[in-house]
Amino acid sequence: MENKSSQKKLIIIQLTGGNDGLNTVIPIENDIYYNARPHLSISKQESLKLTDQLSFHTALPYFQRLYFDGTLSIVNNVGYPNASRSHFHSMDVWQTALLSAHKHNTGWIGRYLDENAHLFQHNMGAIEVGNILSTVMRGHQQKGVGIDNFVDLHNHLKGEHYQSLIKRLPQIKTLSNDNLHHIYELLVDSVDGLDDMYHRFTRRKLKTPVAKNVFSRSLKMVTDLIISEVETQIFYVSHGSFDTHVSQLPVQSKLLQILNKGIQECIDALTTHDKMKDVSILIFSEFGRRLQENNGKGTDHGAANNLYIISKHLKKPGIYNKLDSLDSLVEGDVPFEIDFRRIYANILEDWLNTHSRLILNESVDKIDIFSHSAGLT
Amino acid sequence: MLNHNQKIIHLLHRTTGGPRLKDLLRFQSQSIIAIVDELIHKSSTYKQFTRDQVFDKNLDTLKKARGVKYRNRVAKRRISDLYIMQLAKGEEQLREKISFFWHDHFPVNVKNPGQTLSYLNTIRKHALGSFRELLHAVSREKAMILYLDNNKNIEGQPNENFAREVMELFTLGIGHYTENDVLEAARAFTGWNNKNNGDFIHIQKHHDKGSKTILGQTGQFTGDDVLNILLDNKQTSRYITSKLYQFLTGQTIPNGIKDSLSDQFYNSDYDICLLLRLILNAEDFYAPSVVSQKIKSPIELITNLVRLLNLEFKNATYLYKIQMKLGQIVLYPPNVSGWTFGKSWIDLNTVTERLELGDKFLSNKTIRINKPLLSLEGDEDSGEDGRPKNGNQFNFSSIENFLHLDPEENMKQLAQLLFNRLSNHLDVLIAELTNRWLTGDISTKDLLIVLLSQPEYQLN
Repeated sequence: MENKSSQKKLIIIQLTGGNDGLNTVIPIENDIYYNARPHLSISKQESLKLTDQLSFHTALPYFQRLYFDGTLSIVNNVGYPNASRSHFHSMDVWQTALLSAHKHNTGWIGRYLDENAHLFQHNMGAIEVGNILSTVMRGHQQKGVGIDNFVDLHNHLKGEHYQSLIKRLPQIKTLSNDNLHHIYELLVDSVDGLDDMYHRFTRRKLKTPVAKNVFSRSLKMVTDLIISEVETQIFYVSHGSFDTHVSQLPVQSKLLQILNKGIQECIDALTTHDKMKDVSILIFSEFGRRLQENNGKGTDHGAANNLYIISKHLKKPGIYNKLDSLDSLVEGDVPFEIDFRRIYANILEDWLNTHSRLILNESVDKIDIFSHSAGLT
Repeated sequence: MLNHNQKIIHLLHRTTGGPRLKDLLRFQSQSIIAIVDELIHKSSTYKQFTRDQVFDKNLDTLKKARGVKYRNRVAKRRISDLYIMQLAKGEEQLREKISFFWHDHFPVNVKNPGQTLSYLNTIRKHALGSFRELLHAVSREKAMILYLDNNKNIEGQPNENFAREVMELFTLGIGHYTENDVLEAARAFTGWNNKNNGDFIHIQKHHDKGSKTILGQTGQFTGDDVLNILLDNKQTSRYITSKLYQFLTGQTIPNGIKDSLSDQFYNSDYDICLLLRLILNAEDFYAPSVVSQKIKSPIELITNLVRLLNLEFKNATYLYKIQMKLGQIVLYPPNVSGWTFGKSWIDLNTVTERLELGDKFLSNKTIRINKPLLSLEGDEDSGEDGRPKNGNQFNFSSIENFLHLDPEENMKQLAQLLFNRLSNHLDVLIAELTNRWLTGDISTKDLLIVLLSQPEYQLN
């Protein structure tokens, strides 16, 4: 059975392309917002009320429910110094969790695996759904695994070709060729790890409805794996693209609907199986968008943004901090108040019970969305 | 000990896009020294990539419709494709292969296609020349100056990014200079910049003309002076010699030959061909501990297959997506320290992709990327069923004809070509495949698919 501390799970959802936070959590009493967005602003009446000041986009009714249940925390004005408006660079900063991202190719989850490899006997500590491994999953020695569909991959490796290769391992071991060993051993270990996953999954006979889109399909796999009690602790899913330079309203609305529904299905299933007490979900985007709408009924790349955490162990559910008043923007964008690495530090220390300093390469003053040692409860 | 064929295959693996049947047959009667000579001689010419090979009316249309950034992404992918195909099929095979070593040594990743093209031509042009000239030339490239922020390096506000990397990564290696050397060198590089058209310019009013002390020498140094001070330092020769040795052999250079090789390289004023001859003609290059012991980088794996099967790709993002899945994209190095070679190329994320790459190419399988990626903007290659709109083209008739001449004997030669020293323990498989092929149970294409999916093909 798994080590106790690896039973706390973290799902990270990356909203790729820069989600417009101002139209997700809407400042319904702020004239500056309405004046800057004659075509794109969302009115008080058309939105889902949270407080006297803030409302959710209508596509997010489930998020509104989580908010009133006390299991959602909205952190406003999150970013980092000298915000980059480049998707690639900003995403690198968020994934490496290093401001000098261009010189590094390890991510914070990868470095978490480096420090905690002993927890995962099948080397499946972190899974990114998809077949391209992002920087975030790469550590110095360890890395996460990119899996699109673990059932397919399992069956594929159980096929004739791979099984015949696996049988060759004893013979390969007689050769003096370290790199060839590596390939054969990797195949053997991967089949072991996937076998374990597959058997835990099939034992539970989970009904798997056909998902309608990539995001809900991805999240469905994550949910199934958590319910199946696999060793994997961290799951990474991307959703997008939120890069709404033109015709923002319908595009963002559709993407948020998919997000809302996917999260609802995920949490419903986890709750049914009594797993939600062990799961936290982090939802972020590489940057927010400019307050002033552009001429294409869209918005351009911005800076600080809001970020969402879903968990039953929130010290401060609801609105963690006030949304910027928008009256002193920096180059037209919301300035950052909370460095995102402070949130990572909080998650690492208090949810994943590890030393954030080793992973973030410096001592970062954590915030307190999770209370101290929430991950040990 | 290796037989002559094994030596030839090894040499071709490490110095070209990959061994082909016809190369092996042609070189069988020549000595290693003569083959090395021929490889060098064939690479004595150089043809630059031209803008016409990249930019066309389609790109103009794209620019009007989607903007310049979008156009640039597509154009850069085209250059990346162009370079891979050149690595696989260009006439000057040794030049291209060694230029790829320099691409990893001077890794630059900028969005602008014009700057990328100019940088690429510079490393290709100097790939087999003098490292002194290469270092000077690549340091003046706009792509390099922008990538390492030297355009922001001006008197009074030095930006030390380039000055640091030129010492740490390009010449001396870490531990052979002080922080103060970096600071002083940064002052010497102030004012190094480029015009809009990319031409190098030394902006005098941005240049710090004061005295600097670098590696114990003091003077009113310019950027060129710093590069020459670094080149005059024997540590640079040791560092480059070790790194090129590692690239060619996959092994750390033994202490016993390090000084001798680097001294000869230094005394030749950094003649890259001289160093290549010293490494490639030495007996230890053909030691069993070197041959078939190195994991092919993704680019080597791709170029091996392209060259072996004479592949042509008819879809513009096909190669890009494959590289993305395998974890190495030409002209998109991850950062200024280049790629990490070795075992880490092969993990659960890449192992099936790599083993099945031959099948993908020969069976025209789709390369599926299933998450939102902005860098894939402009990917219009997939048809409605997700398959590539246009099939890959390949030609393995020379392999087929060769097998027909003497199936049993030539199958062994083919296996040697593909697996080199590792073909011995695949004897049983080879014999079985020979039988099945002879009886018509499997086609030549299926035979190749099975052979190329062996883990032994992942090494060279």
